[in-house]
Amino acid sequence: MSLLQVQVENTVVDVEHDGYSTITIYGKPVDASIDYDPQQRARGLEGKSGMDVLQSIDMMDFEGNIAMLLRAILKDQQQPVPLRTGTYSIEVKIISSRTPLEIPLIGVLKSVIDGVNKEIVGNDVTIYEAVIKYSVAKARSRKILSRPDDLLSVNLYTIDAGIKRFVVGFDKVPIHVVPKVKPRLLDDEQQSLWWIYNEELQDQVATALINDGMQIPSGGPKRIDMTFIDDLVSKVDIDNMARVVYPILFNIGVSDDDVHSIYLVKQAQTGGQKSSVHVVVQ
Amino acid sequence: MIIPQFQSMLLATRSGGQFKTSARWFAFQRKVISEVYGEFKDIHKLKIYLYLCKHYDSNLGMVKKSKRKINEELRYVKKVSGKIKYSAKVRKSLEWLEQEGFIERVSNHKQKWYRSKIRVAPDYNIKTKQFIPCDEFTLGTKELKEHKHGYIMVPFQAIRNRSMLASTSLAKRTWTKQRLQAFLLLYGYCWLEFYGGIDPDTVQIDAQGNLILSQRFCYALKRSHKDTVKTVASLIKDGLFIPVECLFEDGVYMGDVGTYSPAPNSNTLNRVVLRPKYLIAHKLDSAVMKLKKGNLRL
Repeated sequence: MSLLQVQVENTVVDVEHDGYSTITIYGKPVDASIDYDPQQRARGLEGKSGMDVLQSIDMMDFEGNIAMLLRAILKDQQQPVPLRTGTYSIEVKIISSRTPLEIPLIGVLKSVIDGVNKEIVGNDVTIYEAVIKYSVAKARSRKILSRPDDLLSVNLYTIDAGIKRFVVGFDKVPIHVVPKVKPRLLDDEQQSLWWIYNEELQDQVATALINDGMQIPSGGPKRIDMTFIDDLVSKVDIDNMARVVYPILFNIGVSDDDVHSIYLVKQAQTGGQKSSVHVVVQ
Repeated sequence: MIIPQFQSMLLATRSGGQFKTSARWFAFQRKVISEVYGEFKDIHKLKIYLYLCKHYDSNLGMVKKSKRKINEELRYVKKVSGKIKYSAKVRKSLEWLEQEGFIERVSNHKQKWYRSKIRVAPDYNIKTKQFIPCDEFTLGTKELKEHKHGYIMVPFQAIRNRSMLASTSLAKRTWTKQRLQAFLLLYGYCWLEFYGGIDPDTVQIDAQGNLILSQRFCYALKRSHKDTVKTVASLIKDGLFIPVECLFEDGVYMGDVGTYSPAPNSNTLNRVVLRPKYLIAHKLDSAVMKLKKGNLRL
């Protein structure tokens, strides 16, 4: 293990790595909420017009469909919607002829979680585990196809005292999967304001790792595990924390195309533990 | 597929007079047209539902159309040996729409007149293939948005009762379920402020008039790309959607070609955008549209 001290803007971040597969970034996990929600608007990020942000119509629709599919099953079973508060785990599986380069798993996980948020799980901060797995399907001719050749499974569990219990889900539904994409802005300059620290973190940590000889073997398929440890993890979305760290892997040479599964876990800090993000690529 | 008469269509838009504005619009719920949604049992049910959506009065919270009016306006009335006869298709369609949770009868069953209201469209259970009513939501654009129920803004004038929805042999032949759904879905991707028309990544038209649709657009209609392209081309042929050359700066629509001169070093792109013939007036008058360097030629 080698320990690095990385300067990110005016802070120093401790980073540990083993040279080929594990990285630990110490300090509070950072989140990147890119929702252009009313709260952020209230914080003064709204443009002059109020009509300045256009989310991808396909993505919004996909998220709406995820909510609908799960809500329909829950209502059919006379279960309350949204579900009672608790601790949740979500598992997403995609079988597709498209490559993970076309449908990056981190982005798909995010759009599925956003679909589940509020409508199925009252608040997505209660999701403590999120898993996405990909497997390749044989391509069919897209010209004549009238049904999507993506098959999506989404299953939701509660976690209670370490025991997982199935709540609701669907398996192998043909639906055209849409990963999270950044919204279009009428005024593009707005966006850059928010990202400076995160981008700086992603660049500086990656550069320090490369300079120190970190080299993740190329090729795939790869599995990525990320564990977020902090006393405040209960307040931060797991997918948003992952979206800050993930580009570091990209910057040190991990291609979306090779990532076939991602396992995210967030844990409350226990005695003696430091706040950190622990990443394993294998 | 190449759009027939493409170049002359582009030329025609340069002289204007192609588009019509509609002050009124109505919401058609997006989820109804999707690859994971159930089917309307027949074309009558879809057309009567669309008719009710069109005539829904959100202030009154109901559609002020009696069964008789629906029968008459949609030409279901038949004269049998001098007597006026209403169609069982209308009655059965209304019953089906009510039973599955698309509409709700708000007048008393004993009352002679019929009034209904539009509900938040039912969810669809893909496992059991059943519609599940959405009682927990009330219909309103704000509420729909908050709960991830998208809606398509359709100009009131774009939907013609007589030529599109009526039970005449001509309307039945021209306006099939697929064509009607494609028509509505195209409006679902229309965003004048950003694209000056329909999202050019969803409906791509190159400089030669080659028409390519996004996969997702075709899947939502449950049709192949080949079929859907033919349908969209026929809507273009009938002048309901018109290709227009537009200028984009940094990926955002800035005006129709010829309405301004872009700065020589600007990041300007000339793209062909498909624009609906009927446009919603308040969208054209928005503050954002007024800030454009060029303008949208009506």
